[in-house]
Amino acid sequence: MNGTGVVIAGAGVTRHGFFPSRDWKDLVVESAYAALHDAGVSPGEVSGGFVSVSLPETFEQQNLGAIAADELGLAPAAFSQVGAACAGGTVALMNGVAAIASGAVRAVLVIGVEKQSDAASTADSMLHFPDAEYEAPAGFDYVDLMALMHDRYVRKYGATHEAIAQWVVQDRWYARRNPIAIDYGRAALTVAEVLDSPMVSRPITRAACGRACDGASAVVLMRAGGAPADCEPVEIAGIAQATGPNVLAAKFGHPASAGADIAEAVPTEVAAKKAYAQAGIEPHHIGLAQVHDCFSVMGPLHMEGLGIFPPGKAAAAAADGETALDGRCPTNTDGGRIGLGHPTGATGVSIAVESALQLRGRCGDRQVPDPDIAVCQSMGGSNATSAVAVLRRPR
Amino acid sequence: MWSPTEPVYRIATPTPAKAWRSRDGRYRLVGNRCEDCVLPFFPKRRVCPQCHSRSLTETVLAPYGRVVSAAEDRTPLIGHVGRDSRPFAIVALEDGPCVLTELVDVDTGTDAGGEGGPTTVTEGTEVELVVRKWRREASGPYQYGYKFRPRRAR
Repeated sequence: MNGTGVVIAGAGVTRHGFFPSRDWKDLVVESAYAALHDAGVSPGEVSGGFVSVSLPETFEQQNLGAIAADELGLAPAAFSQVGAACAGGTVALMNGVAAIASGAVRAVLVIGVEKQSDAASTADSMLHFPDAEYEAPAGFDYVDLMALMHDRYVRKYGATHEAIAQWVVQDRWYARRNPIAIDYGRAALTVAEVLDSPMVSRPITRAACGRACDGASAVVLMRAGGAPADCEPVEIAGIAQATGPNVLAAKFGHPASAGADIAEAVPTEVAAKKAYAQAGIEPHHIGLAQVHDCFSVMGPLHMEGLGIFPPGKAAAAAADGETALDGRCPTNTDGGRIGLGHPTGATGVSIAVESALQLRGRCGDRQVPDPDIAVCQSMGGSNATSAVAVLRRPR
Repeated sequence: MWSPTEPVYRIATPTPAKAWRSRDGRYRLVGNRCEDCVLPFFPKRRVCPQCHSRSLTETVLAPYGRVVSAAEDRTPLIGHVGRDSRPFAIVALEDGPCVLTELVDVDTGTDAGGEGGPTTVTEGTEVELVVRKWRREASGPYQYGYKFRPRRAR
C-alpha cells in the first residue's frame, strides 16, 4: 500500500498551559477555527468531527462530540467523542482518516482538548487509567508505574540515569523556542538540575515528569486532491493503533509481549510496523519524530518501539545528540510532553500539528532542515495502547 | 466552627460491591489457569489471551516471589499519605505471574540506597505476601489487599 489518500488541510493549536479563566469550549473553538482558517475551509463544509478528551469528568460533561459541534456552530454535523487515554488524539485522527477514506464526508475536524487545571489534583484525576482493581486502589498512579519501567530499562539495558535526564534537557531546548509551549522562553536546563529536582517516585524526579496542563489542537482532514488549492496540505501516509495489557505486571509473560516486558513499548512497535507498511517507508527514512514522553524514560522507549534506535540504545543516542535539531532524527521538536505540556486528550493531535508545521517549514528557531517524512506517536496508559501516524510532505 | 450539613455532591461514586468483588485476588492472590494451554494468570482472566479458551480454573497462587524491578514512591496518593516513602516493586511469583505491589517492613532510609530502589530490596530479593490496608473507598469502607515483605518463613 502507499498512503491513506487523506491530507491534513489545516492545523490549529492553542497555547499549552494553565488557563483558569478559559473553559474547554473556549479552547475547542480557538483551535478548530484556527485549523479551518489555515485550511481555507468554511465551517459549512465540515460534515463530521471527532473530539478527543481523556478527563471529561473534570468538565462534569460527557457527549462532547455533540456539544462541541453545536458550540462550533456546526450542528447537525456528525461529531462524536473519542477516548483512548493519552493516545485519544491520534486515535481520533485515525477515525477521521477512516471517515474521509470511506467517502461519507468531505471535510472532518479532529479536535483534542483537555482542562487539567480544572482537576483538583492531576495525579488523582488520572487515577482511572491504571487498573481499577489492582493498581489505583493499591496507591499506584502513572508516575509509579513509569518509575518501574524506568528502573527496568536501566537494569535490563544498562542505560544511565544521566542519559535519560538528557532527554528532559533536550525537551526544554525545543520548548524554549516554541511560542505555544508551557516552557516557552524559560532558561535552559542541565542534567544535574533534572537529577537533583525533588524525587516524585524514585528514580523519576519532578523535572522528568510531563506537565499535565490545558490546551486544544485541531486539524481539518480532506481527501488528497480535494483540499482548497491555496492551502498547504500534508499527507497522512500511514496511521495505525495497537493495544497491549493495561495491568503493568501482566506484560511479563503475556502472549502479546513476545518476550518483551515493561522496558519495551510493544504496542508502539506493532502500530509502527502497520503504519510504515501503509506509508511504504522504513524506519531509516524518518527524519523527524514526535514521541510520547509523559516521563523522560518513555521517550527512549518509544523511539525504540518506532525502530529508529535499537532496543536499549535510544537514551544514549539522544544524549549523543542524534535527536537534536542537527541530529539524525530531531525529536519532540515542540518540546514534548515535558516542555510543551501535556493536555492529555489534545496531545495526540498536537503532535500531528507540530509535524505538519515542520513539514511546511513554519517552525522558526526550531525548524528542522527540510524534513520529508515525520512520524508521530502517542501512548495511552502504561503502554496499554499506542497510535502511530506517518506524515509526508506532498510529493 | 461552621459545619456543612448538605451532603457533598458526588458523581459516579461506586458502591462497596465493586471492591468486594475482587476480594479473593486482593487477600489471597487467587488467579486462574487456562485448562487448555496451562498458562497461569493474575489477575484472573475470562479468556486466555494465548489460545482464546474460556475454560479457566481458579487457583490460589503461592504467596512467595522475587523482586524483578523496584522503585520508591515519595509522593503518596490520597488514601496512602502519612509516610514519606512507599517502596514498591514488580514481583515475579513462584507460580509464574507477576504482580505490582507495595513492599513493607523494608528499610528505605532517607536518601540511602543510591539509584534504582529501596535500600535493602533489589532485583532477586525474595518476598512473601502480607495483607495490609490499601485505601478508603469512595463509598466509605476501608479496602485491604496484598503487600509483600522480605521473606521470613521457609
